Amino acid sequence: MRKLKGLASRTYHVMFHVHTVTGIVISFALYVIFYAGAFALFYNETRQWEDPDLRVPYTNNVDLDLAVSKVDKLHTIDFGEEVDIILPSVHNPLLQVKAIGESPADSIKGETIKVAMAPSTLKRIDAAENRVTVARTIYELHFFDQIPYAGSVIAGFVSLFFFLAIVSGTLVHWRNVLTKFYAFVKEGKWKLIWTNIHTVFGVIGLPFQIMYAITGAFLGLLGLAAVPILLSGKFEPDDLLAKLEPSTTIELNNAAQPAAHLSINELYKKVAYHFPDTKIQSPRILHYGKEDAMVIWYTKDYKGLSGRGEINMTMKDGEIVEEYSVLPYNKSYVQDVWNYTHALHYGNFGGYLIKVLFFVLSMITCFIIISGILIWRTARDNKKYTFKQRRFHHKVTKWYMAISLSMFPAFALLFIANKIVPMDVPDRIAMVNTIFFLGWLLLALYGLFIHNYSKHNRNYLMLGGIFSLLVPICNGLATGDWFWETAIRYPWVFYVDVFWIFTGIIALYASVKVMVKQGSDKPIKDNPNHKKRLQLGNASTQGN
Amino acid sequence: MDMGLGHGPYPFSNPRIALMPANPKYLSSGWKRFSKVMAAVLGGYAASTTIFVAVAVHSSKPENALFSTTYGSFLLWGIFMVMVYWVNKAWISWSVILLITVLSVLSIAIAP
Repeated sequence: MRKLKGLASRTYHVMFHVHTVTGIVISFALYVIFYAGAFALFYNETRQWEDPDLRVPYTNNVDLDLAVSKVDKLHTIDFGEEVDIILPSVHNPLLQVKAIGESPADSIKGETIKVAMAPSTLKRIDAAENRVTVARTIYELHFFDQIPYAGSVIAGFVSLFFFLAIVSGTLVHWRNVLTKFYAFVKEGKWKLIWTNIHTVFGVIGLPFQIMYAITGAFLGLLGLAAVPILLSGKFEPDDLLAKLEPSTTIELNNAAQPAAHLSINELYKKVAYHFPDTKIQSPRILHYGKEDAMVIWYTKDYKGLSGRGEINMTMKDGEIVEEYSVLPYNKSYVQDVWNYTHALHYGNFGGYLIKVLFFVLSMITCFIIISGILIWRTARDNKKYTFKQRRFHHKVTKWYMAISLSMFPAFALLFIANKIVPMDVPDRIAMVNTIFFLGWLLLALYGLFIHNYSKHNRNYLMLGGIFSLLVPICNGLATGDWFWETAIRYPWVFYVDVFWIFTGIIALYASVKVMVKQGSDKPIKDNPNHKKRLQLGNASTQGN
Repeated sequence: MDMGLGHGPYPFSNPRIALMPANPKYLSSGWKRFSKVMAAVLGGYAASTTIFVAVAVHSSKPENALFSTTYGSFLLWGIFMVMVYWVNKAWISWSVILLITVLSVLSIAIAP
């Protein structure tokens, strides 16, 4: 195969250095972002597993008008404000109504009330939403939201520099892009193996990674990009928002008279008839019971990039008001850009094939990051560097292995913590989060005492494997829903359990099979020993 | 071949891999390095965002140009960063970046 023309010598070295420096600086954060992000793709799918209150039979045959009037009886809803209904879904089968009303306990008006109901009986359920945090902790960790204000900006910058690392890395590799496209080398010297893993997977994942680098930078740094727009003083933010969300321009008449209109149930049938291939998720009702009543149906089809919709209907006659609507596959450029970026980043298109693919590609990206660190270290493990420098390289690598590889057992621990902390404990979320973050810290600290990277790998795989197998057991013990019973009743509880069982078995198998090098990766001061150790290391790898 | 690294048990048969890590003789240092980082991060930011506003103020549909910043400005920012390091002389990169920024700001200022 033809070799492409590479960079000139100076450019090559400079780009290499740019790639190394940005790569090393962002590596820790980027690993956390991709690892947590891979799990965060399945946010909704984890909800029913983490929250036993959501394990009720699903039906989409709900009397919405009755639900609203029931909530009205309890809380005297202020219909001058918006009333939001979240319809039951496979992942969260509860029907939820959110409105402004008064709480019966202290009869204070103007409070935000949220009522969850079983969809079939419309009986009120005290949902544990404020007591459960697995999906949310992972989702927030994905962009460091645990750090107030700065978290998402840091994540945005990491994404931007990830883009720089991708471009510079591709330029460095350019000459070999074609010839080494299939270079899955698993024999030979470690530096070569790590390099081939890094470049081959890097090229395979290139479109995926560029997409995430750009959309990630957008989600984290949008505020920064908007500064010149606002500073220019030529644009009203409200006008721009109106182009994106036309429903923000709706002006309701405060003096509107009470009037009869179609029921929400009838309107639901209308919107379902007009948009048969989409999931109607959450209607927002404005001026319910008045002459200018409106309903906005928020929809998603999880198929196309432009599949999201906001369909605005008058309640008087059920006409679709296009002026205030965002129609699926019929959007303006502005709305399309916005929806494409979000759908791409959240993997909300192409069904579960895309989500699974993105999960695997995220894990591959984590693998690229690890191999990058190992290249960095291996390339510096020689006589050109002083003992002090080499010790520093080893320390960074060790920290890196400890923090990143311990995420696997720590995530399994988070799932376990959600089950072993009883549901009625006050401040439960803080407790679960403490177990997770403290557990991660301890697991990482343990890694600092290991001076052999293959041992890091094996030990964390083993710990992660054991913890993974405990996850479905804890779920069974805590909720009584064992995975052999949930397969038909609550498939998504079953899938999460089965995911952990498979992960556990694979991890334990891999931990037994993993090649553990002899000796230590710690630099040794005098060169003869250092040489001897390297030879020993190579001999043991060739033996495998 | 001895690339200055070839010792011990690693036979550096692949010359490209032997060229790792980067040779410091090609890398800038001191003020030049600082200037390049500033050009890449701050200059890249200024040029990549103002250029979209400059197009928007003269457009009949300004929202299209403005919402293109969501992906376009970050792509451009990254390209500016690569440019700064690709071009050896820092003043050339600074000139390009400042020219784009100043022209953009002027274009915004003269817009009705």
